[in-house]
This record gives sequence, structure tokens and C-alpha cells, in this order.
Amino acid sequence: MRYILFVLVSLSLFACGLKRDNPLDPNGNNNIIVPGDVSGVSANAFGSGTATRYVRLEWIGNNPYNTDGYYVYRSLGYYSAYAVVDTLLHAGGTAIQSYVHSGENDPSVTPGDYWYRLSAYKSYPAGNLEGRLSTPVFVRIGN
Amino acid sequence: MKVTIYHKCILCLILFGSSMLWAQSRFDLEAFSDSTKYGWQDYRERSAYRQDLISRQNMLQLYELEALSVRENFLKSAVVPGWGQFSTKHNTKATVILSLELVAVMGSIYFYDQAMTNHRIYQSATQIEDINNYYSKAQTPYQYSLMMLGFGAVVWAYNLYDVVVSTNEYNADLWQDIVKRRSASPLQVTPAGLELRF
Repeated sequence: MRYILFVLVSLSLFACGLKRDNPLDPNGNNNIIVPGDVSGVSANAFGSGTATRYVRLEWIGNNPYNTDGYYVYRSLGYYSAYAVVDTLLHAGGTAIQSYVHSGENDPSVTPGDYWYRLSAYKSYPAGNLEGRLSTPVFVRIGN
Repeated sequence: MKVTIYHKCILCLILFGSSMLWAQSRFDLEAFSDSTKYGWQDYRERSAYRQDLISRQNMLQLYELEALSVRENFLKSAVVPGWGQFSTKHNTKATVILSLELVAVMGSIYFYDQAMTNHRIYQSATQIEDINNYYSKAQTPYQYSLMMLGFGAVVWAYNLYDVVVSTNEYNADLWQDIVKRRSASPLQVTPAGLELRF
């Protein structure tokens, strides 16, 4: 009986949980700073009827303390899968607050309806820790 | 005259010899050879008693052949829970123990596998929501897995305790069973072979 109790107590103590061994997990590593949320995102389409169409995204820039750059995502629907279209890097500690997704650099910028989202990231030796995605914003690129 | 150690030894030897002779003369040979002291009035009763003794010896030999070893049954149940109970003919109990143990072990493996799948995704995740989400998804089945393992350990421990009790009960009932079998049938199975009584 004493042996059974010992086994049960050992198992209960062992059942505390799995190891948080992801090097980017802030709960397992006190040196990790979680990137701030991206807010105030807006998107406007330009260049309709011309050869070069582009979408201009603007947002409130995060503090460089918790953000080294941003990922820009785009999707064809609000709930569809979002794909990264570009990665932005804070240069010299200056906060980025806008981005132009141009047809000159990306031939996929064609007339249609799109949803854009942004997320901030912070760089660590183990990789980039990405923050929460912003609320999707709609943009229509005209013919 | 001076009494030496030599004289003392001679005296002791004489005393010892005398006591032996006295003891022999007091031995009651008649009482020793009296066959009625065991309650036998004649040779028939003596013969019947002897038959009964031989019969009991045969039953004892049968018991020793059919009795189960506690240690052997304990090892059986330690390897496969319920195996020892099957040997003691406690089939329902054995089936329940074996089933519970299988459910506990299989459940534990299933939840552990689920936990490890989510934990691998957690380890390679770089997005904060994915990190938190997959850690939670790994943690819950991991705890279920440990609970199932604990349940399996309790069933296994009970199975070991029960097999000792079952084997002792089986051996206790076995003697009664042998006596019953022997009195019921004219054809007997003895350690020496078959015996037909008329």
C-alpha cells in the first residue's frame, strides 16, 4: 500500500507538465521580449487604370525595443490562408510606419479584392519571434 | 587415601553404567508392543487404518502436484497482468484486470503520442500564438497520458496483490476438491497412475 502511494505521488509530481523548451518561448526564457501588437492598420489602393498598381499600408509604428521588423501578409478572403508578401526591417532603430506593395516588385499585385494583415517580430539567435497578427484590412485594386 | 581425578572418572563411569542398566530394566516392552494402544482391536482395523493413511498420502502427493506456486503466479502476473488469475481459474477477474491494464496502457500511449505531436510543433513554432496554442494542446493530452499510466500502475499493483490472495485461496480449496473427487469417483487418479476401486 505504501508503495502504491509512493508511485501515485511520484506520478502526480511528474505530471506538472511538459518542458517549455522552445528557445523563443517567453514563458520558458526570461530574456525573450514578446513583439508588440500592430495597430491602426489601413490600406489604400493606387494606380488603377495604369500599368503599375500598388497598395499603400500604414500603421502605428511599434517601439523598436520590442520590434525589429514586420511581416506583411495578404489573402484573397477574410478567413482564407494568409501568405507573407514581404518582410520589413527597422533600419537604424527608426520605426517603420508604412509600406508600399507595388506591382513593380510583385506581379501578383493585380486588380481584385485583397485582405492585408501585419505582425511585428523580434530577432533572436534562435530565430525571429513573431507577435500577434493585426486585424485584417480590406483593399480593392481597380482595373 | 587420596582421591584423584582418575578415581573420580572411574566413579562417574560406574554410576552412568548402573543408571543405563536400571533404565533398561524399567523399559516396558509389553506396553511398547501393545497394538491396541492406537485403538485397533484387531488386524482388520489396523489394515483399514493403513489403507486410509496410504490414501491420504496419495491425496497429499496429488495436492503437491496440482498446487500452484505463489512465486510463479506472482511472476506471471507481473509480466502479463491477469495471467496468474487465469491460472487460479479466476477467469472473470483475470479478464477484467487484463482489459483494464490494456485500456490504461493503450490510452496512455495514444495520449502521449498526441502530446508529442503537438510538442514537436510547439518546439519549432516562431509565432507567439502558435507557441502558446501548441503548448496547451501538448500539455492536456500529456497529463491524460500520465493519469492513464498512473491508473495502469494502480491496476498492476492491485493485480500483484490479488494474485497472491487468489493463489492462496486456490491452494486452500484444492485440498477440499481432491477429497471430494476421491470420494465421488471409483476411478481415481493417483501419483502412481489410475486406480479403480470396487
